[in-house]
Amino acid sequence: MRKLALRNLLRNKLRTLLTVISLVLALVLLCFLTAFLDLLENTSAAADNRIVVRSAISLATPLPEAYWRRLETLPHVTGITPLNWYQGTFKDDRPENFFPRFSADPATVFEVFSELEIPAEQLAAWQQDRAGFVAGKALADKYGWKLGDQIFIKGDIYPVDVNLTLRGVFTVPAVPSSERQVFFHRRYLEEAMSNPGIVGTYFLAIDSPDNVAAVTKAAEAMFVNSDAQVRAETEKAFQLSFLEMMGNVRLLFTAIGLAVIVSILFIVANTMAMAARERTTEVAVLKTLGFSQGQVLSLVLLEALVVGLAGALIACGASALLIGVFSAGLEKVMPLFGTLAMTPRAWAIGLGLGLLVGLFSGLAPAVSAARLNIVDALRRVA
Amino acid sequence: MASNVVEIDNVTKRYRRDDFEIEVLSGVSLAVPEGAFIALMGPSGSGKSTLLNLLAGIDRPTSGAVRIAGQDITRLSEGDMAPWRHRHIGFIFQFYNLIPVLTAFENVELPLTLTRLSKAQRKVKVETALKVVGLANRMDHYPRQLSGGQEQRVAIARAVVTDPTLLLADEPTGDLDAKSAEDVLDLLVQLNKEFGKTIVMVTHDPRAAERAHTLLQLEKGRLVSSAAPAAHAAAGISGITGVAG
Amino acid sequence: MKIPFKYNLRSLFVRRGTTLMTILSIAFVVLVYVGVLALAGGLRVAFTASGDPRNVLVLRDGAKTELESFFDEEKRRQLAALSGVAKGQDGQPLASASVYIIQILKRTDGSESNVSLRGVEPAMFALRPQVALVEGRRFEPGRSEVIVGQSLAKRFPGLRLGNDIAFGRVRFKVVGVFDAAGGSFNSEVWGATRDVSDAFRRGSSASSMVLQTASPEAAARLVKVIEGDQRLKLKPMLETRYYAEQAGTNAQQFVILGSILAVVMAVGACFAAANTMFSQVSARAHEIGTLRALGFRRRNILTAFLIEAGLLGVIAGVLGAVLALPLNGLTAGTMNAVTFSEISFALRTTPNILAGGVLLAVVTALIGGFPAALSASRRQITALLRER
Repeated sequence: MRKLALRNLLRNKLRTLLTVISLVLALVLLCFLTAFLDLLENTSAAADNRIVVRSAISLATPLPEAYWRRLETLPHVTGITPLNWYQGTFKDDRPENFFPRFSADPATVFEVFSELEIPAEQLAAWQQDRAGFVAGKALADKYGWKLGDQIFIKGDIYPVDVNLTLRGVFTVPAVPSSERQVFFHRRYLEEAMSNPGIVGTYFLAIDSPDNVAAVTKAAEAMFVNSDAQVRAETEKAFQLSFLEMMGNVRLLFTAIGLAVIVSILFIVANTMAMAARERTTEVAVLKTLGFSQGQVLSLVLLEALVVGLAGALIACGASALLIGVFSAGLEKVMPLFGTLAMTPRAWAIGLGLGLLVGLFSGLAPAVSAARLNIVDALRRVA
Repeated sequence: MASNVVEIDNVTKRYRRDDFEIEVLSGVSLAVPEGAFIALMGPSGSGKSTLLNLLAGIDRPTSGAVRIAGQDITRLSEGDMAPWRHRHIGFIFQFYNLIPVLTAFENVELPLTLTRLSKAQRKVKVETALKVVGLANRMDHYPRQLSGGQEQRVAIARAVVTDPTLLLADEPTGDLDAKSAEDVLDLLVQLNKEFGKTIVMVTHDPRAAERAHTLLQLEKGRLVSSAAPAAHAAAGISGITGVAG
Repeated sequence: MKIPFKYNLRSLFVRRGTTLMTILSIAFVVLVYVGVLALAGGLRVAFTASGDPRNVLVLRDGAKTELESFFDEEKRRQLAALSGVAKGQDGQPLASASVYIIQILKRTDGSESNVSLRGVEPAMFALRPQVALVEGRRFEPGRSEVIVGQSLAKRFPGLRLGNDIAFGRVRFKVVGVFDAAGGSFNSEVWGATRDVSDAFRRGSSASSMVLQTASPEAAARLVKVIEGDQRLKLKPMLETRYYAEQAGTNAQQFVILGSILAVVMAVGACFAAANTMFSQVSARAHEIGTLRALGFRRRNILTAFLIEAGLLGVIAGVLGAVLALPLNGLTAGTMNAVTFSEISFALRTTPNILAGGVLLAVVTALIGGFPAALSASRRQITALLRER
């Protein structure tokens, strides 16, 4: 009987082909959307034992440096480092030249961000050179920087430009996307600004993830009566808050995804129905020969599932291929924190939805074939 | 005396078509002994196809009983009908109704796939059936590669491959040219004589009717006469009651 | 002789189920297309409605947005005194400083976003006549009062009329709600410059200044004057350009997304249309053969099927457009990628976009249906008549 199902699909090759292609297109689209959404929501780079402390007003409002020593006294805090988002313009405004540019404290930054690995002598060299900077290997490779090279960044948020010399290159084996950033001395920036003692954010390392909740509460409580109140949250929550500000991206993508699925469901169901209609006599004959309702139902359903499966497999393969091709180009169009890739969820969507569409599109024709009245069906022909 | 393969007991069939109710069969009773070859004739609308459908278990009477090989099939549930049909009935259609995407071999094999026979066992039966109908050399051909007569013969092979209790044919020569029709009828006679198959054939072709043992006439849903065509009167088939009125 | 139109019309509807499903699948493509373009269009409108071609916006040299800009009172006085600046009815220069702050607030759905708070001078209202109060009254300087843009009032529960809300270290009272005729100011909270500065300890420094001139040409001249003055070290620009750039950046991503989506879905729908038409053609083979035998020519057949495909497309397009209409006016809020703060906007399904959607549907149906129509016209009469 499988033979029959397969042959029936090949009977009208054109129709089967057209249907599978439209299914593939829709599924590829959905895989892309899912992979993109996963990329946006990707917080895997966030450590689960770090907290971010910033002004309760907004990220644009700085905190006093005096808070540094006070935060250090909190129990369970094993390290603290200030980080300022300097950013500025490097080369030009194009998205491909977008990567985070921070002013940091060389003595503590690599301790708190322990996943960043840097050779000891390079770290020392950077700490000695106030006009020096360190960069992740991915960036150094991309721009062909060598130790001793100089770069120029034009200031925007901070109204000063900086000239920096590369003193060290760090790698992040656990989270390669974290290699796309640079750090330089905060004192260098402060001197240029003649406005010392301003900190954008504090990153705190906590001894164990279990204590994170307690420390965030303690940090906020510490400054609740001060002029500059703080907000403390896990690094993960911090990263997600940016996505949250973009509005309900997930809702938008889900809505689009649903529209696509409904559309494709109609298309495939249509095909199955057309095919089934042309074969009423055959179904009648099968029933006459003794095939039961259940067997006839599974026959039609099987055909639909094969279409769904074929579409799903091709779509997953095509998506993986296309995403690999596109991820490089995507960088040029929008700044990303990571690489676009086929995530497990994207695979699941591609395979799962393909099969589901197959199943649902075949359901109605299968049921009507099973229920077919033999006499009426035979009479139609003769 | 041979036992009755078929016993139809006062069967009536009514259809609803929009607002009308049509009585297609009215109080028909019939007994068909084993090894009989019956031709069922009548003008169109007389109910002959309907009677055949009742015998095949494809349709149910409005009232009355239909007993095949001693079993009243009107008492069987819908779910039991399919396996019953499979075991007891071989059906031959006017338009052959072979599955176009399957070869002749696969078409004949189709009813056997519902059994528990192994592939090898099925192969033996299929080849035998095709040999009987004389198309063993066309096993791997698709229906579109066969002539009308050949298609019908493959359909006959499919009908007998399960060794059914009863062979039912609905206008088997209706779509064939004279020569092919002859071949098909010869085949049916052979199946009846050599293999003892009980056959009920609906036809409006007098040549076809001639080859049968017994001729039954249906008119407006009633059996109006039963006659044994002269050539086979000697076979002594009896036990057929036709009720007028 | 041409095949009568009612033949096409009726044929489509005989096979109702198939026709309906194809129409629906194309209609959904149109829906997505219109939806995403309405998003982009709405964003664009929110920005362009903000810029007045007579206005000059002045930022600190090197700043790209108001957020990172600041300059002192002395410079502001100099700017207001420039001759190119128009005067209001009270004889005062039409110039207002803005103290621009963003603060995190919670939306009604619980998510958070940065909201723009703008401290303005009285001249701002004369400068922007499109800003009108719809509820309550204007704030009074020195009393820690604010007025809230309409879009924000809807989306942020803390910003309703009569509420108290903390900005920086001061609690402000919401005394009015204003409408800025769809511009981006609808997503802002306005207060008095001094009040806002004090709440955030900004001293006398302001983020930006807006100067109104007599005409767009006068604005361009004023820009040159300010640029030429080395002592000021400021960055002037036409206000329209400032907002256009923001619109461009923000809307661009949606336009790209929308176009890609629409194209991919449209191709899929093409295949659907092709499937339907091919099946129509094969189901009606006998019919077509008869028509040819009667004397209709190949191109009549081709045209007939193309008309049917086109008809399918038109119906689908209109249906999709109708389905998309409820989207019009739906408000959405997202982060302005440039200023890093919340911008509310309303989706706008303009007639242009809707027409584009219908066109998309028709083109999709025609492209999909063409191969089948061609094949129908090319087959031999005898072959056609032989079919069922």
